[in-house]
Amino acid sequence: MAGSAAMPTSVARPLKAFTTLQPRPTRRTRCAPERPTALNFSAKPHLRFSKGASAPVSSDGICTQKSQLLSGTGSLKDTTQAREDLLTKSDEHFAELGLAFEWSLAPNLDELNDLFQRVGFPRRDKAKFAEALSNTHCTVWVRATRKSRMAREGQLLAFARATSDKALTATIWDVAVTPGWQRIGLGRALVERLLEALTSQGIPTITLYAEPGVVGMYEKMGFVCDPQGVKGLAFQQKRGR
Amino acid sequence: MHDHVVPASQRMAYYSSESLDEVVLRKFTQSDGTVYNVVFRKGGPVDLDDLEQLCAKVGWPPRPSAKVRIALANSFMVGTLTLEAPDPGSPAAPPPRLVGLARATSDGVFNATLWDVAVDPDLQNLGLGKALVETMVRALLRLDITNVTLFADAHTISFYSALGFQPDPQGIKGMFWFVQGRAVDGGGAEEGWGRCTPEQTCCGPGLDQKG
Repeated sequence: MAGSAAMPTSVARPLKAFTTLQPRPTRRTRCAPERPTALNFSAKPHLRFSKGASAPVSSDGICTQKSQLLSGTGSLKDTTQAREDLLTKSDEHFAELGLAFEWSLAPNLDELNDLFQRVGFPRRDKAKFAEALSNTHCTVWVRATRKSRMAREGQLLAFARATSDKALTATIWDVAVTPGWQRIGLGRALVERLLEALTSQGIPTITLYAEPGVVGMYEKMGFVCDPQGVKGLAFQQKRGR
Repeated sequence: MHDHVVPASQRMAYYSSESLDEVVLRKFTQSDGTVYNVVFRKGGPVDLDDLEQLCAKVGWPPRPSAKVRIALANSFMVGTLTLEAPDPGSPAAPPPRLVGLARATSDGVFNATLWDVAVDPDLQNLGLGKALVETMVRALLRLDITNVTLFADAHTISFYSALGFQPDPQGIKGMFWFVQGRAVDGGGAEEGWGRCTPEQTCCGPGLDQKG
């Protein structure tokens, strides 16, 4: 490696710690961060588009394992109470409106693209979309349970997803509600259900990027802009590169 | 001690390689003539103890190591900076030292978010943080992941702006969710860990204060 004739004056601090070479411990935890398989905390199979691995009973007594609920070791009342904390409108409320939340059923990508187009998001290449969803930790969408003036039976009416490292952070993306079904709380309902799933897994940092028009909606749900001055940034590619 | 920046002509050879898995970013020569490289690696193994020490050195509160292991395993891309001998395989070579880290979560197609960007304070102000972030961004862009985002502490915003990141682009705001009065089980009873506190996972504190 050729050195240049004019070397910069040293600005580096002396590498004190490095030069005192301590013997390394022979046993250490190694982490190979290649693309992982899902880590299951329970014996349940990991479904695509599912809520993710089930959390065991948490320290505040909230049990999310159905088998434990049935056996009575978890507290059904506590679980219901916890759900009520986060969900402003229940599944039953939406069921009466002919709406159901789908977690494990894959959304129809043509319908999803139609929805995106209607709300002003770019349409996506279907193969890329499928790959993105398969790499998404939680996906939830709203299905019309009956035919109406505003929907075909089974039609996808709203959507949201969250990526995550499954332990420390999660980011919510692509929250969309079809125009005819807006203003009844579906966007909020989707995000609340994602929050419920993520918090039940103990993920402490949950973020999203909000367009100016919906910042107020997310603030009402408990999201905060620029906490302690921490800002969201996005890489801007230069044109013509 | 002299610091050689690896000449751009030689770095370009690495940047144009298919996978950007390993790039020598810097060479240091100690006064006794020993040479060390700072090497960027993508997808290499990360020693959790070394990472914990690095995070402590940059002033971050400790995190449950089980969670860190899971988070690394489920990150789309993990980049490390190691300080090592030019021939790390040789028996006489001192062991590599972890001096930098950045990781990205992603859906692999559309969006990515950088987290935990840290450079050992002993080696800050040498352009290593810049090289680390640039290399990660370049690797993501090569995969056609065009929306690369991050959350930055206030005092690091100018650092990231200089690298091409824009705060609140088109008025879009990054937001954090804070639990309303009920503790989230964060896997430990550590003070503050169960709640959403951005300084624990942001790209900010691991970089030099001067940006």
